Amino acid sequence: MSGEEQNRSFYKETFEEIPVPEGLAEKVGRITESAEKFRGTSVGSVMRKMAIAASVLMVLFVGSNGIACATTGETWVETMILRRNIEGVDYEIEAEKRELRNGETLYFAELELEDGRLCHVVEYDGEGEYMVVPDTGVEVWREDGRTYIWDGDREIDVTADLEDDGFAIGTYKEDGVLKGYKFWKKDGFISCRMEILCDEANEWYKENEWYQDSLRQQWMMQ
Amino acid sequence: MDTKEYERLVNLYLGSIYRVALNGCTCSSDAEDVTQNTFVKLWERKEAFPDDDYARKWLIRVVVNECKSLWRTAWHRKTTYLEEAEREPVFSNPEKSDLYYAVRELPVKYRQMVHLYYFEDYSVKEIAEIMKLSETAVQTRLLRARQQLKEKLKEAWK
Repeated sequence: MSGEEQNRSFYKETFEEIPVPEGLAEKVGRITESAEKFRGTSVGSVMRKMAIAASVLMVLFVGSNGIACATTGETWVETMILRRNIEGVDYEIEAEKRELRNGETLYFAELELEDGRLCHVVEYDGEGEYMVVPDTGVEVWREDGRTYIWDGDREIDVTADLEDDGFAIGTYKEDGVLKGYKFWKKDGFISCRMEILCDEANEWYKENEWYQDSLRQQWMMQ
Repeated sequence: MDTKEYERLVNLYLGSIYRVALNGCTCSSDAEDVTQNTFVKLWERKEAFPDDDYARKWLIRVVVNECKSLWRTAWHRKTTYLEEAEREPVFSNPEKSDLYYAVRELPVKYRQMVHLYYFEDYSVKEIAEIMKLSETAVQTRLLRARQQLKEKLKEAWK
């Protein structure tokens, strides 16, 4: 047996001795049980409305984008390559230039995530940018060094908290739905996590103590 | 995904996914959360897998991404886990314990790679695909990880 094979065998023997924690299999099994309680509503839709599917967007600054030209039939379309990290996955997105009636331009792309959800990515005039957080309808807008959440008519400016503490955390209720947001800033990136707790999800949430505990823990730790 | 198929895949891969999660997290409670989130995504998945190997690779890709997301969260960086010491695994001999702790002391970005290579038997190319890195980056990190393990474990690591 070669040295490398011995290492592999030693490694496997060692890590095979690590047990799966007591209760984990049961918790993982309960994921399907919970779906049964919501017959008629897919577990996906319930869970997506919950924090489990909270979307994490990392907004990369304009400087690293590149402008390229691509041809579609006979029409030349200016495109911009946007680099985004969405829910931990890096994407290179080719965004098309759109001109608005007021003369402003923006770059737009519709990105299909691995699980089929759609995420709209827009870069505005090379200075501001906004993204729609998947599954929430919440828009995150950055312009002139300020960062806002747009949700319906509501605008929340999180710039001051981000500058002071490096993160901004809060909740608000929109159309009877409780939403939570977390922004944090690191190495030139701003990340955003939105969490939505609708009534349906709240019911599911109340009945799943293990999940409730882990979520409560997350909020308390901030 | 139907319940039977879900349960079959849980039985097959829960241990494997938990160990990958453990190598991507600082503590077992995070690894448990990450494992649960991974299986939620499995349950939400609508399309069937062509085969079990594909399912395993898909699960590993999801768990790797879940670990990355966890590391980026603000609360995670601020947290200390007081109960963690009580939950460390017990091994059948001290050499295994030394290897476990030597691996735990590696930077997180090396740990998962080492685990996928030595435990899951993935090739450099497959790891590069899973972790969305170049093959050169994987090779370099594996080399550094091996060197660090050798320094710590001396004769026990060839």
